Amino acid sequence: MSHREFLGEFEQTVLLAILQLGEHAYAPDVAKHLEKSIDRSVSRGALYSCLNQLERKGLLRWRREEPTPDRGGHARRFYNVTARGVRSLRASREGVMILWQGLEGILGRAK
Amino acid sequence: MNLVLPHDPMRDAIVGDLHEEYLGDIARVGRRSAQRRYWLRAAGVVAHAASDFMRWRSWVSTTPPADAAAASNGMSLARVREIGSDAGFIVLALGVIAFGVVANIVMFAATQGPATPVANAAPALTAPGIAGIVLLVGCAAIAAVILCTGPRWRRRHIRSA
Repeated sequence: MSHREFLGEFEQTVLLAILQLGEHAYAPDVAKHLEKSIDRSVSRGALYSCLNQLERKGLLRWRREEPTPDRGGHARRFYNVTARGVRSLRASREGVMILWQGLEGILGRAK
Repeated sequence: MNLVLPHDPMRDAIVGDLHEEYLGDIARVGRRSAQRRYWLRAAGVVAHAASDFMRWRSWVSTTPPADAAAASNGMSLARVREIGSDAGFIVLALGVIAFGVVANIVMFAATQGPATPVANAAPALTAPGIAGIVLLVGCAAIAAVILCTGPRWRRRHIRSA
């Protein structure tokens, strides 16, 4: 039995968005990035729930920025993907790629 | 939001994010639309947090920086729930309750049971006897096993999800 850790579809998109945003990825930016790049409306509740789960799985880590007045005195929380998160993304991609193989005739080639 | 979310840096960040987005929305779409969006987002956050809370997935930071440890010392419903999910705490609590129940029954049986034959005793004063004690201890033991293995099972389930 395989011990690979596969990710859910939303978890994958959130991790990929955080990787694309780089060092300054925080929740509203992740949501906006997903809305712009894949035209997917993201519920803030679902996003925070997902971030919490990814953090608990050890796929994300966070750091805190000092509170600023434009945030009502609340700190900002930036996310980074951990090495384990990158490994999980690779494993998920490999798993999906295996399933995609041989289906070009039905589904067509990727753009 | 303070009721649903635990006192944690994550709550601070969520409130700040909502505030920041609200200010951005005011500039873009006006105050009324911004207010509507703010409340929709806040309601979504509360709904998801409550849903996760029911599934023992409190929004508590797992890798807090040094200053977060002090911030998370505050007591909240979620914190109580977290303590309740600790197997050691459950064993201790059940042990204390079981001891209290058994001690009460034993004292009652010792003072009322032997002195008054069951056939002649008033129904309200009838002691449960050894069978009742065994039944209660058995129930407490079964409850302890279920509650002790439950949180572990949930943690395994969360890890494997």
